[in-house]
Amino acid sequence: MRKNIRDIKKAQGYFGPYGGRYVPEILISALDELEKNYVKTKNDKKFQEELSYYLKNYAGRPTPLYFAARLAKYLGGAKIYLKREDLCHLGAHKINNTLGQVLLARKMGKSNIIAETGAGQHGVSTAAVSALFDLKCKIFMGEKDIERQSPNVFRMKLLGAEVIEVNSGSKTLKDAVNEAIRYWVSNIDDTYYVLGSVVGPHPYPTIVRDFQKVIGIETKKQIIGVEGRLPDYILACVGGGSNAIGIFYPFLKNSYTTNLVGIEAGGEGIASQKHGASLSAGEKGVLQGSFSYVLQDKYGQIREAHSISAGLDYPGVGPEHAYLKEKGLARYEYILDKEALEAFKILSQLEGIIPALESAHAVAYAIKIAPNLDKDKIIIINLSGRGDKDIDTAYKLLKLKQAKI
Amino acid sequence: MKAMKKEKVRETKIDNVFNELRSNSRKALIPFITCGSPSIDGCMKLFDVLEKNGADIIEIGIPFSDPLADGPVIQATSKIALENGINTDTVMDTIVKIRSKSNIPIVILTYFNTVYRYGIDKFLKRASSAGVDGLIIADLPLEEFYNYRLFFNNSSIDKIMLASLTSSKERLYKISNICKGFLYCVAVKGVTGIRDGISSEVKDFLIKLRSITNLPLALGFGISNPEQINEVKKYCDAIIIGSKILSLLLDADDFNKGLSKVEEFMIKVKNVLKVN
Repeated sequence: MRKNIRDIKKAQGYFGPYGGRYVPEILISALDELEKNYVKTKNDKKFQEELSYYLKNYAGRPTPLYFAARLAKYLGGAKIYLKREDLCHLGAHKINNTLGQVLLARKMGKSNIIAETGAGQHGVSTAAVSALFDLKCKIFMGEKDIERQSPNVFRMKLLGAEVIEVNSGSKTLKDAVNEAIRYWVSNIDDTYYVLGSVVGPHPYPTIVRDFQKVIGIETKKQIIGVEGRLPDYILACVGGGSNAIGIFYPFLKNSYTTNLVGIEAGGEGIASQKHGASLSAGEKGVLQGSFSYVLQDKYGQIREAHSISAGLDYPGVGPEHAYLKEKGLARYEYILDKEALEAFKILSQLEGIIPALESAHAVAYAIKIAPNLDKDKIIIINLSGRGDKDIDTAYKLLKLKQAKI
Repeated sequence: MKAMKKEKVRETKIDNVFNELRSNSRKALIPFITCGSPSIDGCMKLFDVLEKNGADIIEIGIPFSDPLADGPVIQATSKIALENGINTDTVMDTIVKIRSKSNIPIVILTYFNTVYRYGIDKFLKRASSAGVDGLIIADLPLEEFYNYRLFFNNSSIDKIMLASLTSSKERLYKISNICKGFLYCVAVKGVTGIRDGISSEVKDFLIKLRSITNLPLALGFGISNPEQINEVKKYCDAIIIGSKILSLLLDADDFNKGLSKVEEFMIKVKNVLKVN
């Protein structure tokens, strides 16, 4: 008995105490298969060449690092650069991961692709890449998100995907993940689940981070190219945290010179309990397969998150972020809905760039800190997506605000 | 084979159930209910009906907001229970009340976050003093269990593990070596819920498990009718039924009509569980 217990290996896929595979037994073999194939593929030169080809010619990488001169001048402090992930094909950083995972799915001989989506960006991205490689695609999306991100729903359908409305729970991203996992459990043999963020059971947080770290690798080269040095701050919004980990990761060894700051959704304020700030205001727990920080009540029931941006409306956060926070390698702040909306307007008006409401959280944090920094300091904002999808939401809210004033 | 080695551990109430049944040539019936659905009173009445109509062990679910392994029926009862304000403490209180009049083995089924958040040690102590005999955590597989093994090993509650159609033989050995009470054999590649048939893989799965372990084999997930049970009863020691029973209540016009449907169903199933 003793010997047999010792025989069980300590669980894989931990970042310190965070991560793991808290899933029903039935998923273990699929996660093992995924991990095995991923490790093999990761070091396969042909796979990497193929991925690079599509990243360059299909997704449009490398994306520019753009000096936001008017924004910097307006704020009167640090220099501000934008990493233009909004210029990726389909308008967000999500394509980096989707291309990687769908290519992996093909290698594994899986004919059906499923994915969850919140804002719709990951769904659109997965639908597009599935179309590109002629794979069947189903996208799970909460009813509430379908309402507020209707242009993306149409895009997914146009790209040939089936959009499955999720009516359970809070009817948002978290519930879309639940449904996607349930579907995966039930169709484990021929289905590949393209998880869109650095959440979920191992190996997903690692796979998604590896496919997103291209953002940070490019950024590092680009900033050294223009400024001859590393930045003082890197700001990125954090829902699950894929764009943030993507830009942070290559800078982790430089965290003594570069402050890595993840910006969560403060919603209507922490006290209102209507927010998505799992790291700032959540507690340790297990959600959807990994141990991390979670918004929950005292009995461990998951609380509904809230954010103006569907992509940050998630009560959990990637386990690696929990680890970076604990180790002090990155820090995490939050921005309120109204601050994000203001930043959405400011960036549009000063730079002619309409950011996604998610990315507007990172912009808003720059607006907060830049005026107090010296002119020789450098801030890089990961502009993870463009805001066309948010026009309806912003229009309604900004009009409402005008009416009040 | 090493798995055949009998351990020196005291026999638990769950062990006793299976020891007796083996000599009676009957398979055990293990119904599942969600605590707090349709209400605390309602689920206590349901418990009563299940016990009076031949349940050998009863599984009580602590509802969780995000039940990944569950299909629509148990999602619905979990939601109802949570809306009724059910939490881990009220479940334990309910079990204490049940225990004042019933001695049937009770197994708690839940998800890890409810246990972790309560405090694993505190949870196990509270459950043990309430009179719980076994614990199933749907999303705590082997490796994660290992991280918390000291808590579980110090508790007198049987930690019941799940075995799935997709688990490798090597894993099944390890799972059955740490599992106590009975092995929860998942009959579908999928989530809980009502299904008509049963996959032909299940029979081979149970035969394989029988060669691996002496633990009682309890088959659950998707078991909803006597025909399915007839196909597989020879190869297992118990049948677990959740969604079907709960749906009889959910679909009924009123609660009492639902209860009599459950009664009818239990009698039907009970008859099928006899073996010659």
